[in-house]
Amino acid sequence: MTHESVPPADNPHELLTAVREVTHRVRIAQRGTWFPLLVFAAITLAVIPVYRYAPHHIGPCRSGPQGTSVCAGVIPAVLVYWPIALVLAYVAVARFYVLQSRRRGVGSRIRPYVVAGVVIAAALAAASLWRAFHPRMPLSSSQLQVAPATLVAHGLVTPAAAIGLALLVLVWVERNWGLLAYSLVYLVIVLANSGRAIHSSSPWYFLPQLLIPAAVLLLGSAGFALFRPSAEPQPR
Amino acid sequence: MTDHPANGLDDVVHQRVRLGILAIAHQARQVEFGFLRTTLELTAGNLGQHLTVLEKAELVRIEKGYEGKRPRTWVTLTTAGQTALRKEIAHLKQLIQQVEQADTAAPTGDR
Repeated sequence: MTHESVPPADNPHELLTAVREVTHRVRIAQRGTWFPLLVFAAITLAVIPVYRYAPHHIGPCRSGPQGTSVCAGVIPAVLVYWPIALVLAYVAVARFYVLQSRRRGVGSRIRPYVVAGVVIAAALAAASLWRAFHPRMPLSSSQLQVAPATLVAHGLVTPAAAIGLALLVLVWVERNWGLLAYSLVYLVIVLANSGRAIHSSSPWYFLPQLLIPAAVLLLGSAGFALFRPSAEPQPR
Repeated sequence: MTDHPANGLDDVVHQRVRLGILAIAHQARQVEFGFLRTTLELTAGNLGQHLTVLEKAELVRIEKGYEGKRPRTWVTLTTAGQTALRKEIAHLKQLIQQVEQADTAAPTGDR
Protein backbone atom coordinates (compact mmCIF):
# COMPACT_ATOMS: atom_id res chain seq x y z
CA MET A 1 0.00 0.00 0.00
CA THR A 2 1.31 3.41 -0.82
CA HIS A 3 1.27 5.73 2.10
CA GLU A 4 1.82 9.42 2.10
CA SER A 5 1.38 11.26 5.38
CA VAL A 6 1.45 14.70 3.79
CA PRO A 7 -1.40 16.10 1.72
CA PRO A 8 -0.69 16.60 -1.99
CA ALA A 9 -2.00 20.19 -2.13
CA ASP A 10 -0.62 22.81 0.22
CA ASN A 11 -0.93 26.52 0.68
CA PRO A 12 2.25 28.66 0.71
CA HIS A 13 2.20 28.98 4.51
CA GLU A 14 2.07 25.20 4.96
CA LEU A 15 4.80 24.61 2.40
CA LEU A 16 7.16 27.12 3.99
CA THR A 17 6.43 25.73 7.45
CA ALA A 18 7.16 22.22 6.17
CA VAL A 19 10.46 23.41 4.65
CA ARG A 20 11.46 25.01 7.95
CA GLU A 21 10.55 21.86 9.88
CA VAL A 22 12.56 19.49 7.70
CA THR A 23 15.51 21.91 7.62
CA HIS A 24 15.44 22.04 11.41
CA ARG A 25 15.40 18.22 11.60
CA VAL A 26 18.38 18.01 9.24
CA ARG A 27 20.33 20.53 11.32
CA ILE A 28 19.70 18.53 14.47
CA ALA A 29 20.76 15.30 12.71
CA GLN A 30 23.95 17.02 11.54
CA ARG A 31 25.00 18.08 15.03
CA GLY A 32 27.78 16.39 16.91
CA THR A 33 28.68 19.24 19.24
CA TRP A 34 29.80 17.05 22.13
CA PHE A 35 32.72 15.58 20.21
CA PRO A 36 34.78 18.73 19.43
CA LEU A 37 34.31 19.90 23.02
CA LEU A 38 35.58 16.55 24.32
CA VAL A 39 38.58 16.56 21.99
CA PHE A 40 39.56 20.11 23.00
CA ALA A 41 39.19 19.29 26.68
CA ALA A 42 41.49 16.30 26.10
CA ILE A 43 44.23 18.31 24.37
CA THR A 44 43.96 21.03 27.05
CA LEU A 45 44.52 18.46 29.79
CA ALA A 46 47.22 16.64 27.82
CA VAL A 47 49.42 19.75 27.72
CA ILE A 48 49.77 19.89 31.53
CA PRO A 49 52.89 17.67 31.68
CA VAL A 50 54.44 19.75 28.90
CA TYR A 51 53.94 22.96 30.89
CA ARG A 52 55.23 21.34 34.06
CA TYR A 53 58.26 19.40 32.86
CA ALA A 54 59.40 20.95 29.57
CA PRO A 55 62.34 23.40 29.93
CA HIS A 56 61.43 27.07 30.40
CA HIS A 57 63.43 29.87 28.88
CA ILE A 58 63.41 33.48 29.93
CA GLY A 59 63.26 35.54 26.80
CA PRO A 60 64.07 39.20 26.22
CA CYS A 61 63.25 41.69 29.03
CA ARG A 62 62.21 45.31 29.05
CA SER A 63 61.44 47.92 31.69
CA GLY A 64 58.07 47.42 33.34
CA PRO A 65 55.92 49.60 35.61
CA GLN A 66 57.15 50.75 39.03
CA GLY A 67 60.76 50.10 38.12
CA THR A 68 60.21 46.39 37.49
CA SER A 69 61.52 44.36 34.62
CA VAL A 70 59.09 42.52 32.33
CA CYS A 71 60.44 39.38 30.71
CA ALA A 72 58.96 36.92 28.24
CA GLY A 73 58.70 33.38 29.55
CA VAL A 74 58.94 30.84 26.77
CA ILE A 75 58.33 27.10 26.84
CA PRO A 76 59.44 26.04 23.36
CA ALA A 77 57.69 22.68 23.65
CA VAL A 78 54.36 24.45 24.30
CA LEU A 79 54.85 26.64 21.25
CA VAL A 80 55.23 23.45 19.23
CA TYR A 81 52.51 21.49 21.07
CA TRP A 82 49.51 23.75 20.48
CA PRO A 83 49.58 24.16 16.69
CA ILE A 84 50.13 20.42 16.24
CA ALA A 85 47.52 19.44 18.83
CA LEU A 86 44.93 21.86 17.43
CA VAL A 87 45.43 20.71 13.83
CA LEU A 88 45.23 17.04 14.89
CA ALA A 89 42.10 17.85 16.89
CA TYR A 90 40.44 19.40 13.84
CA VAL A 91 41.42 16.38 11.74
CA ALA A 92 39.75 14.15 14.36
CA VAL A 93 36.67 16.40 14.41
CA ALA A 94 36.40 16.32 10.61
CA ARG A 95 36.75 12.52 10.63
CA PHE A 96 34.08 12.23 13.32
CA TYR A 97 31.59 14.35 11.35
CA VAL A 98 32.26 12.37 8.14
CA LEU A 99 31.62 9.06 9.92
CA GLN A 100 28.54 10.48 11.62
CA SER A 101 27.27 11.67 8.22
CA ARG A 102 27.61 8.20 6.78
CA ARG A 103 25.96 6.57 9.79
CA ARG A 104 23.00 8.97 9.87
CA GLY A 105 22.68 9.27 6.11
CA VAL A 106 22.87 13.04 6.08
CA GLY A 107 25.85 15.12 4.97
CA SER A 108 27.32 17.87 7.10
CA ARG A 109 28.86 21.28 6.46
CA ILE A 110 31.73 20.93 8.87
CA ARG A 111 34.42 22.15 6.48
CA PRO A 112 34.09 25.88 7.35
CA TYR A 113 34.55 25.06 11.04
CA VAL A 114 37.62 22.91 10.42
CA VAL A 115 39.15 25.49 8.06
CA ALA A 116 38.45 28.35 10.49
CA GLY A 117 39.87 26.30 13.35
CA VAL A 118 43.11 25.54 11.49
CA VAL A 119 43.47 29.19 10.37
CA ILE A 120 42.94 30.42 13.95
CA ALA A 121 45.46 27.82 15.20
CA ALA A 122 48.02 29.09 12.68
CA ALA A 123 47.34 32.69 13.69
CA LEU A 124 47.70 31.70 17.35
CA ALA A 125 51.05 30.02 16.63
CA ALA A 126 52.32 33.13 14.86
CA ALA A 127 51.05 35.45 17.62
CA SER A 128 52.53 33.24 20.35
CA LEU A 129 55.87 33.21 18.61
CA TRP A 130 55.81 36.99 18.25
CA ARG A 131 54.76 37.45 21.88
CA ALA A 132 57.56 35.19 23.04
CA PHE A 133 60.05 37.79 21.91
CA HIS A 134 58.00 40.91 22.65
CA PRO A 135 56.98 40.84 26.33
CA ARG A 136 53.88 42.84 27.17
CA MET A 137 52.69 41.15 30.36
CA PRO A 138 54.61 40.63 33.57
CA LEU A 139 55.29 37.00 34.46
CA SER A 140 54.00 37.60 37.97
CA SER A 141 51.16 40.09 38.00
CA SER A 142 50.26 39.77 41.67
CA GLN A 143 51.63 43.16 42.62
CA LEU A 144 51.19 45.02 39.36
CA GLN A 145 48.22 46.73 37.83
CA VAL A 146 47.54 45.69 34.24
CA ALA A 147 45.07 47.54 32.02
CA PRO A 148 41.86 45.52 31.29
CA ALA A 149 42.38 45.95 27.54
CA THR A 150 45.84 44.41 27.87
CA LEU A 151 44.36 41.50 29.78
CA VAL A 152 41.69 40.91 27.13
CA ALA A 153 44.27 41.12 24.33
CA HIS A 154 46.49 38.75 26.27
CA GLY A 155 43.56 36.39 26.85
CA LEU A 156 42.61 36.32 23.17
CA VAL A 157 46.07 35.10 22.18
CA THR A 158 45.74 31.85 24.08
CA PRO A 159 44.88 28.35 22.88
CA ALA A 160 41.72 28.36 25.03
CA ALA A 161 40.46 31.51 23.29
CA ALA A 162 41.42 30.08 19.88
CA ILE A 163 39.20 27.10 20.65
CA GLY A 164 36.37 29.42 21.71
CA LEU A 165 36.63 31.66 18.63
CA ALA A 166 36.45 28.62 16.33
CA LEU A 167 33.41 27.42 18.27
CA LEU A 168 31.60 30.54 17.06
CA VAL A 169 32.04 29.23 13.52
CA LEU A 170 30.56 25.91 14.63
CA VAL A 171 27.57 27.89 15.98
CA TRP A 172 26.99 29.23 12.48
CA VAL A 173 27.57 25.83 10.83
CA GLU A 174 25.14 24.04 13.14
CA ARG A 175 22.76 27.00 13.63
CA ASN A 176 22.96 25.96 17.25
CA TRP A 177 21.82 28.76 19.61
CA GLY A 178 22.56 26.65 22.66
CA LEU A 179 26.14 26.40 21.46
CA LEU A 180 26.23 30.19 20.92
CA ALA A 181 25.28 30.80 24.55
CA TYR A 182 27.79 28.19 25.67
CA SER A 183 30.61 29.61 23.49
CA LEU A 184 30.07 33.15 24.79
CA VAL A 185 30.10 31.95 28.41
CA TYR A 186 33.21 29.90 27.66
CA LEU A 187 35.00 32.89 26.11
CA VAL A 188 34.06 35.16 29.03
CA ILE A 189 35.43 32.57 31.48
CA VAL A 190 38.63 32.15 29.44
CA LEU A 191 39.21 35.91 29.18
CA ALA A 192 38.43 36.49 32.86
CA ASN A 193 40.71 33.62 33.79
CA SER A 194 43.60 34.98 31.74
CA GLY A 195 43.84 37.99 34.07
CA ARG A 196 44.06 35.87 37.19
CA ALA A 197 47.08 36.76 39.30
CA ILE A 198 49.39 33.81 39.72
CA HIS A 199 52.63 33.50 41.64
CA SER A 200 55.13 32.23 39.12
CA SER A 201 57.17 30.73 41.94
CA SER A 202 54.89 27.67 42.02
CA PRO A 203 55.82 24.90 39.55
CA TRP A 204 52.07 24.47 38.90
CA TYR A 205 51.40 28.18 38.32
CA PHE A 206 49.76 27.44 34.96
CA LEU A 207 47.10 25.00 36.22
CA PRO A 208 44.12 27.42 36.46
CA GLN A 209 44.81 28.54 32.87
CA LEU A 210 44.33 24.94 31.71
CA LEU A 211 42.04 23.26 34.24
CA ILE A 212 39.28 25.87 34.13
CA PRO A 213 38.83 25.84 30.30
CA ALA A 214 39.17 22.04 30.27
CA ALA A 215 36.49 21.68 32.95
CA VAL A 216 34.13 24.02 31.06
CA LEU A 217 34.74 22.07 27.84
CA LEU A 218 34.11 18.73 29.55
CA LEU A 219 30.91 20.02 31.13
CA GLY A 220 29.79 21.38 27.76
CA SER A 221 30.54 18.09 26.04
CA ALA A 222 28.55 16.14 28.64
CA GLY A 223 25.69 18.65 28.46
CA PHE A 224 25.40 18.59 24.66
CA ALA A 225 25.65 14.78 24.62
CA LEU A 226 22.93 14.36 27.27
CA PHE A 227 20.50 17.02 26.06
CA ARG A 228 20.67 16.40 22.32
CA PRO A 229 17.20 16.92 20.83
CA SER A 230 15.77 14.08 18.78
CA ALA A 231 15.85 14.46 14.99
CA GLU A 232 13.08 11.90 14.59
CA PRO A 233 9.77 13.16 13.19
CA GLN A 234 7.27 13.99 15.89
CA PRO A 235 4.01 11.95 15.87
CA ARG A 236 1.08 13.93 14.49
CA MET B 1 0.33 36.48 -18.66
CA THR B 2 0.62 38.58 -15.46
CA ASP B 3 3.64 38.76 -13.17
CA HIS B 4 1.63 37.31 -10.29
CA PRO B 5 3.95 35.17 -8.15
CA ALA B 6 1.69 32.14 -8.70
CA ASN B 7 2.77 32.13 -12.35
CA GLY B 8 6.38 31.62 -11.31
CA LEU B 9 5.67 28.41 -9.39
CA ASP B 10 7.27 25.34 -10.88
CA ASP B 11 4.88 22.34 -10.96
CA VAL B 12 7.77 19.95 -10.34
CA VAL B 13 8.91 21.79 -7.22
CA HIS B 14 5.56 23.11 -5.97
CA GLN B 15 4.69 19.96 -4.09
CA ARG B 16 5.23 19.38 -0.41
CA VAL B 17 7.27 16.17 -0.61
CA ARG B 18 9.44 17.28 -3.51
CA LEU B 19 10.03 20.67 -1.93
CA GLY B 20 10.98 18.82 1.26
CA ILE B 21 13.48 16.64 -0.62
CA LEU B 22 15.09 19.72 -2.18
CA ALA B 23 15.21 21.56 1.15
CA ILE B 24 16.81 18.59 2.91
CA ALA B 25 19.33 18.04 0.11
CA HIS B 26 20.16 21.75 0.17
CA GLN B 27 20.87 21.75 3.90
CA ALA B 28 22.70 18.42 3.90
CA ARG B 29 24.58 18.70 0.56
CA GLN B 30 24.20 14.93 0.27
CA VAL B 31 21.44 12.86 1.83
CA GLU B 32 20.76 9.15 1.97
CA PHE B 33 17.49 7.60 0.79
CA GLY B 34 16.70 6.16 4.24
CA PHE B 35 17.08 9.54 5.95
CA LEU B 36 14.72 11.13 3.42
CA ARG B 37 12.18 8.34 3.89
CA THR B 38 12.22 8.65 7.69
CA THR B 39 12.19 12.44 7.77
CA LEU B 40 9.41 12.82 5.20
CA GLU B 41 7.49 9.80 6.54
CA LEU B 42 7.10 8.13 3.17
CA THR B 43 7.20 4.59 1.88
CA ALA B 44 10.20 3.63 -0.24
CA GLY B 45 8.03 3.38 -3.36
CA ASN B 46 6.48 6.78 -2.87
CA LEU B 47 9.79 8.47 -2.20
CA GLY B 48 11.28 6.70 -5.22
CA GLN B 49 8.54 8.14 -7.45
CA HIS B 50 9.19 11.69 -6.25
CA LEU B 51 12.94 11.27 -6.68
CA THR B 52 12.44 10.02 -10.24
CA VAL B 53 10.44 13.16 -11.05
CA LEU B 54 13.18 15.38 -9.59
CA GLU B 55 15.95 13.43 -11.31
CA LYS B 56 14.21 13.65 -14.71
CA ALA B 57 13.93 17.42 -14.20
CA GLU B 58 17.71 17.38 -13.41
CA LEU B 59 17.11 18.97 -10.02
CA VAL B 60 18.81 16.17 -8.10
CA ARG B 61 21.53 13.67 -8.85
CA ILE B 62 21.13 10.11 -7.58
CA GLU B 63 24.12 7.89 -6.87
CA LYS B 64 23.92 4.26 -5.83
CA GLY B 65 26.71 2.53 -4.01
CA TYR B 66 27.64 0.41 -1.03
CA GLU B 67 28.58 1.27 2.54
CA GLY B 68 30.28 -1.98 3.51
CA LYS B 69 27.80 -4.58 2.32
CA ARG B 70 24.78 -2.32 2.62
CA PRO B 71 23.44 -0.78 -0.58
CA ARG B 72 23.04 2.97 -0.23
CA THR B 73 21.41 5.59 -2.41
CA TRP B 74 22.67 9.15 -2.06
CA VAL B 75 20.78 12.18 -3.32
CA THR B 76 22.59 15.43 -4.18
CA LEU B 77 21.05 18.74 -5.18
CA THR B 78 22.19 20.01 -8.60
CA THR B 79 22.81 23.65 -9.41
CA ALA B 80 19.46 23.72 -11.22
CA GLY B 81 17.88 22.24 -8.10
CA GLN B 82 19.35 24.97 -5.92
CA THR B 83 18.04 27.63 -8.26
CA ALA B 84 14.61 26.00 -8.41
CA LEU B 85 14.44 25.77 -4.62
CA ARG B 86 15.47 29.39 -4.16
CA LYS B 87 12.92 30.58 -6.74
CA GLU B 88 10.11 28.48 -5.25
CA ILE B 89 10.71 29.84 -1.76
CA ALA B 90 10.89 33.40 -3.09
CA HIS B 91 7.58 32.92 -4.94
CA LEU B 92 5.94 31.40 -1.86
CA LYS B 93 7.04 34.36 0.26
CA GLN B 94 5.73 36.79 -2.36
CA LEU B 95 2.40 34.96 -2.44
CA ILE B 96 2.08 35.12 1.33
CA GLN B 97 2.98 38.81 1.29
CA GLN B 98 0.34 39.55 -1.38
CA VAL B 99 -2.34 37.63 0.51
CA GLU B 100 -1.47 39.45 3.74
CA GLN B 101 -1.53 42.82 2.00
CA ALA B 102 -4.92 41.98 0.46
CA ASP B 103 -6.23 40.96 3.90
CA THR B 104 -5.04 44.25 5.38
CA ALA B 105 -6.60 46.29 2.57
CA ALA B 106 -9.96 44.44 2.68
CA PRO B 107 -12.81 46.41 4.33
CA THR B 108 -13.79 45.06 7.72
CA GLY B 109 -17.47 45.03 6.66
CA ASP B 110 -16.81 41.94 4.55
CA ARG B 111 -16.49 39.81 7.64
